[in-house]
Amino acid sequence: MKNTKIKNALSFLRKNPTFTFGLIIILITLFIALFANFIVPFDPASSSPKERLAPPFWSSSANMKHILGTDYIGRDLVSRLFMGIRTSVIVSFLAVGTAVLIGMAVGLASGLAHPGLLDSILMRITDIQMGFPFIVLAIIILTMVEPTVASCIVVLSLASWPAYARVLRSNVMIEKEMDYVAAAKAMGASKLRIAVKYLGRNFLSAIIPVMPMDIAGAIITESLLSFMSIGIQPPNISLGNIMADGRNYISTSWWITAIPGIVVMIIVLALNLMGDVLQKKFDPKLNK
Amino acid sequence: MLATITKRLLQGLIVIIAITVITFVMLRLIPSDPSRTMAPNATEAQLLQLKEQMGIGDPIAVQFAKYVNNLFSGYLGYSYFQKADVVTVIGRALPVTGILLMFAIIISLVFGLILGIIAAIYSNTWIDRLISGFSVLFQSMPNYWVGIILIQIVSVNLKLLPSTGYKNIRYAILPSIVLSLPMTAVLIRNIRASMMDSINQSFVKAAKARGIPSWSLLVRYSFRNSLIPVLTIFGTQLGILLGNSVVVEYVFGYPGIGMQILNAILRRDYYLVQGLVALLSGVFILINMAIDISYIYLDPRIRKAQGGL
Repeated sequence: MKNTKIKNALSFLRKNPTFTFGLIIILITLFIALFANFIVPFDPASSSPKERLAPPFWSSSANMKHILGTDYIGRDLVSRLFMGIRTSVIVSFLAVGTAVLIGMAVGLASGLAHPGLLDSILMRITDIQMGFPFIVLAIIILTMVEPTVASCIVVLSLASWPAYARVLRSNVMIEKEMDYVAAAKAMGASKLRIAVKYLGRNFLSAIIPVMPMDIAGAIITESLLSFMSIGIQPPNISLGNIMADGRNYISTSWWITAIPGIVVMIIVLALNLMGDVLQKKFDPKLNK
Repeated sequence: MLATITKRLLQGLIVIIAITVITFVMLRLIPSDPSRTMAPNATEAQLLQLKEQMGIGDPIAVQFAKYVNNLFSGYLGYSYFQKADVVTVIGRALPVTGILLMFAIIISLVFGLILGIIAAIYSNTWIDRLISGFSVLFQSMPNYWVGIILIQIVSVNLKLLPSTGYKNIRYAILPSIVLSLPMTAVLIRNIRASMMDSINQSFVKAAKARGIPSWSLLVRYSFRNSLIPVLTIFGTQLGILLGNSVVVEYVFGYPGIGMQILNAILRRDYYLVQGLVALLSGVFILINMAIDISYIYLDPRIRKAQGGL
């Protein structure tokens, strides 16, 4: 039983090289995020004025201690990138996790209450959330509250919860009419038990394919907000505020701005590749 | 059909009203005083007077009542930082953003269609792989970062195009290229996929069996049929484009709606923010509504489920 599962997974990976490629990049990203504290070659916060704006390895005057060079006060770029990746991963994964939780709660309540007042209210709230230009909402909220890691997570989760809520709501609306739910009800199962045990089970196959893309979106938005200096604040390190620091020196030391962007691009690319394959796999139309 | 549209319009109106109320309250919860920003050295008494002039002296509920009252006579309020009516400021910024969006949409449509069709015709050759590869890559690049890099290369190093501000149409070229990239990528991928899809459908196969040449087969049969899904993708992308334009305008210092809205939020220019948010979300909601209605219109199954036309 267990062996066939592993075999299936392996054959899936072999048949979908783009998925495998994405997965490997994401695993490396997660490794860096988890162990950033231990694998940074230098203290990412310690500056050394003598070595400021050191060039990266491809330059002839490079100092091989700092492979990607240093920033404007001589902090090691590799170390800062590792810490930035860590922030990106923490913020984006938790933001999408929060969005799924909010979406589940709203979708379940709404679907069970359909048709009814609670359903209407919840759906109008969803409409409002979707009608509000997200970037504007994010900026207003982040100037209203203190921009901490936690508030960034909450703000980013606002971008994707309505989609999850709608998916679960329509799932619940279909499933709750099924015979097996009526049977469970007749046997005296509580509403909550029915909701969690029976109605939520199809939810996963609906949300797994979209999650990688939502995480990718959260990573881009987090780096953007931090670049605009309304997201993650120093001394916390984000790929966005590394770019913001670098932009003042872009004419002479362009790599400080370019490399964090490339890092974001690689992670987002990996997530998009995984999401593409998952979407095809979970699309019932293509699975016939 | 008409009943559905009326119902959706009413729902949209309610959503815009709700968004306006939320924005109104949230702005006033930002812990900073715009009158202080206006006059950093004023005394308390002078500040009170200034607040009265700016229309932010009363309690929130009273301010809101006055605001709604003004709305009914078509007055959106006054931007005290720009010393002009909100309508005037919007009127100045709107055409600038309009040009940006128009350019970006044209670029996306032209390149999306051409490259998407080429990728489908030469599917699974190196041409297709090159086009598809680049479109995945462009889809994954952070838009604002592409902007920063292109400003450096094209404007600063090569001195080909101006980088910031807006004086004439040349100033819109670089930002609209940046803005169009993700949309172009999405269109290429979807046009390719939907062409490939329709190539395999029976009516196309039948046409092929009748001996219709493959080029005309692709354009007259596959392409026409693949436009429907692409149309809805285009609608969804328009909404995303609108959000991205705020970011691109920020990076390029491009004085359109997005730049105005950012400055207004940062300076607590309350009435300007409210007007701009209502405008943006109104356009947003109209686009979404148009997508939904086009679904109903184009797909007979949904039309039936909604109770006929």
